[in-house]
Amino acid sequence: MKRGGYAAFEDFAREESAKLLRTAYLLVRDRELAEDLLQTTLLRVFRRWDRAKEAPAAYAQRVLLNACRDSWRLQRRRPDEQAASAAEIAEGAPTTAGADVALGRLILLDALSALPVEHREIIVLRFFLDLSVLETAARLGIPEGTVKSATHRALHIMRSALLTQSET
Amino acid sequence: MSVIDDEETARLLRDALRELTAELSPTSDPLVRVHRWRRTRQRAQAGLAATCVAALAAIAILITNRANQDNHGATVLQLAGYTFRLPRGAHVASASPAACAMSAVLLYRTGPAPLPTVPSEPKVASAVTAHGGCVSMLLSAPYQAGAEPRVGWGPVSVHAITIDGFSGTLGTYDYVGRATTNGVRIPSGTRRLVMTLTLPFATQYRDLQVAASGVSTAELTKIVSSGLNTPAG
Repeated sequence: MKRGGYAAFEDFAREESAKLLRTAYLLVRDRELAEDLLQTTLLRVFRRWDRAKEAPAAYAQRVLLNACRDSWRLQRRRPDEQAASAAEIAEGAPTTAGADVALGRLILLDALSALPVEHREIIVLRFFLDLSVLETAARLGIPEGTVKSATHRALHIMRSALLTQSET
Repeated sequence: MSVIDDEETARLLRDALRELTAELSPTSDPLVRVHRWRRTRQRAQAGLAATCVAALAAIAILITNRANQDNHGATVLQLAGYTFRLPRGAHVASASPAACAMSAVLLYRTGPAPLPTVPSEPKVASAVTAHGGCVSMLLSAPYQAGAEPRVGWGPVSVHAITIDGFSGTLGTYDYVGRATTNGVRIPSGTRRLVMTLTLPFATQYRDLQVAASGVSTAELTKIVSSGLNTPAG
């Protein structure tokens, strides 16, 4: 890689690292593992920078998703098994909103953790990375219809969780 | 909490995902593996480059040695159309090493002015023997009969010789000059076995001077004789 190319990569890494780390964390729910996956992702992007530089963020997201899947396969465990509780995630997070809102967030996070991995990927891409149905389908290599139906099901589960909580 | 639809759930979800990860940032350098990989790669590339240079140098030596071999595979020394066969194990020196420095042995002829030299012809050639000895050959500029030699070397023991019909001298010389020749300063007192043969060159003459160290008289005679059998055309 040329010197200028490395500078461009460093700029990209500086700008995107936090977002990639948060994405990884939402997928694997393990802070340490998320950092490890971030480093792995950046190395893989760097080694393919000639190909990645056209759309580095999208490329890195794909690499990160694959790294998460590799990690799950290697460790032979689902992220659910090591997920932190919603309260643990919320620890240290700002709670300036009302108590209901804060509670609602925790419930949603717990519901997200309970989703199958494939659905969780879709939810994170759609609602954390703000990707469209088309973009999400492209990142995950699945049909748009699958994204739509999985999104609908996931939102239904989460809404149910919220409603159940509000009724208790 | 009121009844909510998909849109409201999505909005809540977006807020939740953002708020709960807002303070999450890398605690260590996220590029640590990139830096490590780059260092390893740079070292590997440097090693590869060094290996390539060494390989190219070895190939160059092989090619040079090949170019300095006759049809029988013996190493030869080329000098202005003369081809001298060297002892087994000798190799042609790419630059005249200090041990071979003998340019000052050149006979500067005085008297009738020497004729211009032929620029395209190699005038000096050296070879290192298997035992670390050295043979340097030099072909003087053409000169007319009657020119007298003027040398920076003092004869210690010199006698007349004839090899294959060419007359000349053979003996040991000690260097008495103080000149630096070809960037090499020859220490005063340096001793060389020097053979000088007068070779006809058109209507003039040239001197073939062969200086040697670590080579016996018999070996030197054999080397020179091998070249004189194939005189320059």
